[in-house]
Amino acid sequence: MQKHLLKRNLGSWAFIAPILLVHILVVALPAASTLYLSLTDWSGVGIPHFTGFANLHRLLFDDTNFISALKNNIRWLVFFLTIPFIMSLSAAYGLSQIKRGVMFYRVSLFLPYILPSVIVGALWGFLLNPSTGITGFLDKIGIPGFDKALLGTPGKALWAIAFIDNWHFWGFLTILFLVALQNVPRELYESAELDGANEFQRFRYVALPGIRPTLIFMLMMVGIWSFLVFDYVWVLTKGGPAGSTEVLGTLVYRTAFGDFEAGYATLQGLGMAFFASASLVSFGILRKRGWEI
Amino acid sequence: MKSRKNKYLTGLITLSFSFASILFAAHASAAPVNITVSMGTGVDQVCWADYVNKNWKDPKYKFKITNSQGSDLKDQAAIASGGGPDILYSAGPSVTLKYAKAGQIVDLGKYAKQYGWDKAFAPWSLSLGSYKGKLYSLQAETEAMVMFYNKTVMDKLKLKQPTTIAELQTTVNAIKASGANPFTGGNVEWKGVNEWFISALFNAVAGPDAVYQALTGKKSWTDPAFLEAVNLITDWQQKGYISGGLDRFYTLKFDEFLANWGTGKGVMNMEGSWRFGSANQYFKDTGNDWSWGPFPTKSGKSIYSIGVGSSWAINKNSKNQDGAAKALAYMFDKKTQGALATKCGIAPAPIAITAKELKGIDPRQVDFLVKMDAAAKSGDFGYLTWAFWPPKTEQYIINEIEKVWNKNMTPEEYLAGMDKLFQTEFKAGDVPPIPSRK
Repeated sequence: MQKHLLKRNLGSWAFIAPILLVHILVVALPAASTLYLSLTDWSGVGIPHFTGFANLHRLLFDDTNFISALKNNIRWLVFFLTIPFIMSLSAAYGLSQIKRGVMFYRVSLFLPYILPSVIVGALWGFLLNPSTGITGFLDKIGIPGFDKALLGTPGKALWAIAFIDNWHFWGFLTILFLVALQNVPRELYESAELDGANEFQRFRYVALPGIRPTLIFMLMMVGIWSFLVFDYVWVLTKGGPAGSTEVLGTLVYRTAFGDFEAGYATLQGLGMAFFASASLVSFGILRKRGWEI
Repeated sequence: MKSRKNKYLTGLITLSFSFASILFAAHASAAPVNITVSMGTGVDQVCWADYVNKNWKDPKYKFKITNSQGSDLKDQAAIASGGGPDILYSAGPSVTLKYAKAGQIVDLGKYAKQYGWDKAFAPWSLSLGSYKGKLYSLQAETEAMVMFYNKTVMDKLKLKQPTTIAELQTTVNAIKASGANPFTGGNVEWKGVNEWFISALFNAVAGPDAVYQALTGKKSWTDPAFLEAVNLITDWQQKGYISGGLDRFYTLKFDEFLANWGTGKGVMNMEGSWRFGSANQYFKDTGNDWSWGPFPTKSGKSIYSIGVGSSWAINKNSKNQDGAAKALAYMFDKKTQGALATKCGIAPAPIAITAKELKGIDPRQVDFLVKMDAAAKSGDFGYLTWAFWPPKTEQYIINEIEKVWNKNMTPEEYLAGMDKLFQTEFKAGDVPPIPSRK
């Protein structure tokens, strides 16, 4: 029996071995070297010198840009854990109740998601252009709040980028929720209706519990992605104006390749990974507590 | 019978292989070796690569410049892992200094003698490319910050090109009163635009002597002379003199703000001499014309604050270092530099170049080159941040100034932060060698 098990395990290992080897080479070893480099003064050129916890001290006590970028990531997180979820849950629930034209809506909603971020960024950069874009037009017809360029105003730029990213993202989320909702048995809705539940109550007490694993999984993923955001910010504002859209991703990039502080940027990157993984850890804790996720 | 046939067949195959081997060997020995360089994807850089790749003829070597986005980062990774292109093309001497300190680029001393670079290049540029007395990089694309004008609008407003900061301020007020924006500008595509202004004003307001002293550690950046410069640009930005407001400045692309200059929406353009090569295209069909002048200064004396657009070095990992040096000799030959200026709008390297080589380029650019060359030769020039400042301080100048414009930081705090960072880099030896003043 044991021999048989061993034989079966060997077979499994044989399948896993190649990818495990690749993983060790391209993930585990670089990750280990990252830990070491974060404790050095490496400029990205030449030999790194070990500096102990000097980088950590700087990160924790001196680096105001890191704190400011982290705050922007938290703002981003709050935005993406609310707005797209509200939009996509409402849309998905609505779509799950109709029978005609669902495919059309699915395709239309999913379309922005397949566009590359550079294209979306350029498109919205043009649309938000104060002279030639929509905002310029809205200002001309007297709608308040559009007299200044949204991407050029420190208090508004981050939200404008989040809006653009959400334009591209929320359709994807809707489709995921729609697929999950279609697996909720119709009988449950009918029973609730017979019991006198209104539309909102059916959504709250039938639909939402029915898609809880998908919902929680996506909350976790959005939590992780919110700390890794880079592309839309870089394409649209490069962290400006006045650092108002600087997020950890753009800060790490600037530190490594602008300031030539690859060692310190590695530590900032680890900080970024730490916050991103917090979402993963909370997911694990909830599972341990018996949540069905 | 069969074995005889096999023998013939074996013989024939052996003979064919031998013949093919000889052919391949002969071909291999004749094929020129590639001398590789990678640079960015700007229109001028593509033109540059195309011209050099096609025109350098050498029996042993072939120039192979490739254009790719993020080429500097790719080179950095490749060189760190023992590879990389034969020639390292980088943004400036502060970058090559990093490579020189790390022992990853070649001492060009023997090649400088062989190809006469030690005499052909302006002394200030040789100094910039040196580390511990040895030459490690050659500087290309000599630049200076100048003031460009929409001449037609200036004439209409009966304004003369200002020579002093006081006159500039009067001009700014007059343009503003006319309803146009005194300056055009935007930094959404290139945040480095911020340092153009700081560079120009440090030299124009504080003066190149003060800048020299600060760069050599003899003066603090918190000196009131530098504060005056920061206050001036901050005042202009906060009053919306550049492109009509900070929000516009932060969102305008090059083509947009230069089109505004052409149409006269923005009358003056504080930019580098690289714009000479393409200024005409923004005035096409506008009925307007442009002119230029040295950047106005507090004293009224013309100052050319100079810098370089790129630095060239030989990768220590290169197996063809002699070939790379030969390629550089071609690149920095005055005929090649002249051709690159006329065909691609690339500013010439700091070498002695005559009007003959520059035949065909806009006379205003020739005028500028002659004047800048004279200023450089006299040793009385200013210093641009991207050539003479260490990398972290340069990045600080670019990024933190927006906090001052946005009132999140005072000009005093900005300069104090800059000074603190500069002193650290100065002590670490990260400041490029500053050519002495005459």
